[in-house]
Amino acid sequence: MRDIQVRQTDLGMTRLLRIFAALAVVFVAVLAIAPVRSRFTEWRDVQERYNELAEGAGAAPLDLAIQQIWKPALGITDRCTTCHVAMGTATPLAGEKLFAAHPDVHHDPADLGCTVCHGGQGRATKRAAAHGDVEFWDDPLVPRRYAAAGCGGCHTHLRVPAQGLAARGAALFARYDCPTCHAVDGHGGRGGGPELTLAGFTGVPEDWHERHLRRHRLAEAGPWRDGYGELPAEDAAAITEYLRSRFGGAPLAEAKIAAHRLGCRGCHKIDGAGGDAGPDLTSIGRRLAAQLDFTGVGGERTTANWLAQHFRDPVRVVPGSQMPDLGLDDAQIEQLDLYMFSLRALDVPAKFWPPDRVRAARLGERDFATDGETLFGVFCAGCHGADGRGRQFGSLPVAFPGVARPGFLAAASDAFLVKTIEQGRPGRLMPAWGAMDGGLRPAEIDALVTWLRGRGAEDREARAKWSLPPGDGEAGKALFAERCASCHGAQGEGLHAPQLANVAFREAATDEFLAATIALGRAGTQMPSFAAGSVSFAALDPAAIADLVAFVRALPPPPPPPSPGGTP
Amino acid sequence: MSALGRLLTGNRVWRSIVRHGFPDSNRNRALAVFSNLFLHVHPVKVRLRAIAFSRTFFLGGLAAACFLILTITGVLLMLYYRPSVPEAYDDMKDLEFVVSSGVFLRNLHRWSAHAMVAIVFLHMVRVFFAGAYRPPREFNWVIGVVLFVTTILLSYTGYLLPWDQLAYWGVTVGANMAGATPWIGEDTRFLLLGGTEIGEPALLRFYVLHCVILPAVLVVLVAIHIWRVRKDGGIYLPPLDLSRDGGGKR
Repeated sequence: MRDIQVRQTDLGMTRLLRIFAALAVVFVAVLAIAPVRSRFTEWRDVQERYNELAEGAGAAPLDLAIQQIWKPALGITDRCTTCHVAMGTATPLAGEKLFAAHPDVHHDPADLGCTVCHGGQGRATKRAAAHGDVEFWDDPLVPRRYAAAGCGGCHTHLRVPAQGLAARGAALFARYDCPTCHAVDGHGGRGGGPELTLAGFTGVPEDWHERHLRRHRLAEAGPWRDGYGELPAEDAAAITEYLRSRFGGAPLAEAKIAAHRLGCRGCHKIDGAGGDAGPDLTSIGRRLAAQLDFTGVGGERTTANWLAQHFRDPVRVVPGSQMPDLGLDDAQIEQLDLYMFSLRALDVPAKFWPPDRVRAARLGERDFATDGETLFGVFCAGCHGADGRGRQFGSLPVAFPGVARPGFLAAASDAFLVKTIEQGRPGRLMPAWGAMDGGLRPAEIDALVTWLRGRGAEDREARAKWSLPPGDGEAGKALFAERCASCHGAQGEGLHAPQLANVAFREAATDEFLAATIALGRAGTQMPSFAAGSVSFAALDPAAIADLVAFVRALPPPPPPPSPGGTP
Repeated sequence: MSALGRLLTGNRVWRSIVRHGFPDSNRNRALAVFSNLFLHVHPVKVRLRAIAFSRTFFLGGLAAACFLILTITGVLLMLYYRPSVPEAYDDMKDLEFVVSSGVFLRNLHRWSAHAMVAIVFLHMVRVFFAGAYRPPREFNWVIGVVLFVTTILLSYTGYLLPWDQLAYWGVTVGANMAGATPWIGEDTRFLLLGGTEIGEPALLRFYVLHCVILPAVLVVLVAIHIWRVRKDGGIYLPPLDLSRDGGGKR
């Protein structure tokens, strides 16, 4: 009995010991994997290749190690220079793209690191992870093609200048011989004044003219004495605007300026200013391809491609989208793409902000000039057309009124324009732009009205002729159904013509305005002059027009618009 | 015994550390267990039936082994980890990308943690179906339940530490569950998070719970748990059914 037990135990022990020994070997092998994997890394291969090439080129070899740009104040630890060695401390090598120096972009990568401009994952030391091509990394690389959009991380707020004023300033700058001293875009500057090519970024002091004058008065002789003099205030202002539009041809500045002539912010908010009809674009540049629906998009699954195809045909990419096909050409789409990628809403410590960002974020200044022309381009041009002559899009039933047409402006009073801009047309595409809604300030609305007035003066006399005694709404009913309903809808709900039943519209419009519009029509649109008549219909007498006005006044409010996405 | 063995174990230094002879007799085997701090919680003698794999599946021992691995890797991870915002997440990234074998360390910690929860659960299932919770072991069953809860809490508190979205929302859900307790819910939640929302105080609290308080509780309870198994005569064995073949096997 005892012998058996001992033998059993020994046998058991031997087997267990063998299993234990085998497991110990497996364990050591598993443990060995970790250091081996630490040794064979992508970056080590890259640095070894650099050293091979450096030997041929006579450059100093690298000690194989992870490199990094570390800026705690800016919150960056960028190890990109582990592979992009020549953008760190190593000597650039010709031939291999990876070992090239960074292009000259006014900023030294050693100051700002890499990810502030380019995005990506700075701490990573593996290619895919560093470039942000991994799951759960929400700041992918800005595509190389739109690399200039990277400037948007800090320079989102660079200011869209007033085109007209800046153009005048450019002419004055040349006429007053400023380029004698100041170089701009590579011209002039022999006199040794500061170069102004990048004045749009660095800022132009308001009082530059006064400062120049002071120097001029103190100077005994020389260019300050002979080459400078008094300037009219509006000339100085024009030159200031011109200089503020100097961005050294930076692609981002050009893209932003171009985008702000298309009226994107009529429907899209950026940094709190803009309409509500479309999505907020403040951080659109960080949108991941994984968050986008590529059902209607051919080609590669990248955000850049999605955006480009979306600009080409919004409804195909986003079914049911209200965004019209703006008829953009390839160059414009390229610029819009770049501008979209620049909207990254990057959280950069305030002490690194450029002056324009400080002014926009801290002092509440606009990142666009607030003259009427620029404002119209920023907010209105998308729907009403760049020239304000109205637009009709294939994908939308309504035609947008030509608000800069002289006929309309002759009939409309300033009060009507202001009220319309402030309150919009609730339930229609025209949003309310008052300070509480779309965020336009009273002075800006006034500037818009002033600019519109420049397109056509109010004709009070012509309108006053249509100040009629009150009509009979019941009598107007039949007439309305006959003459107006086909475009404006049976209840004035607006088919492809303006919604006459709109409460805000009727509040803003006077009887005189309505009567004058019915009587005189709108040249250049489908609205005929009913006082004149035509071959297809008889002219209306003033009493009939008064009846129509009374009927419009008595219309019930229009039904609320269907909610986007259909009824539940 | 070989000459080398005699040289190694016969000298004075060795004898000052190990006071018993080579465990080739029952007495020395017993002394090896008695005189060792780590082994003395274990019974000196176990039945062959008790150490058969199919009896326990070694689940208790495996759980203890997981805890050992977790302690070692956890202490190493503490060398690289700062429980503050946003350093915590950055330190995760550094472990992934620049610390030698950092990924291995983290993964070992993570998978051992998962394994420990599963093993402790299976250990309880095994004990339950073996009927090992019955008198006189009922108090040890209670300790076991507390140990299971402690293991779950260790796993849960570790979940917040990477300070990523998964952690943040995981802890949001957990804290809200605590907040749903009747009467004391809000206070419990406040106590757990060190505030009304998840932020740096919550991170610090979870860190201290994960690295100090809960492991200390676990170590003490495990010591009592194993010690009581020993006091109750080793692991529970069903009475021998002598009527069946092999009834003589012990």
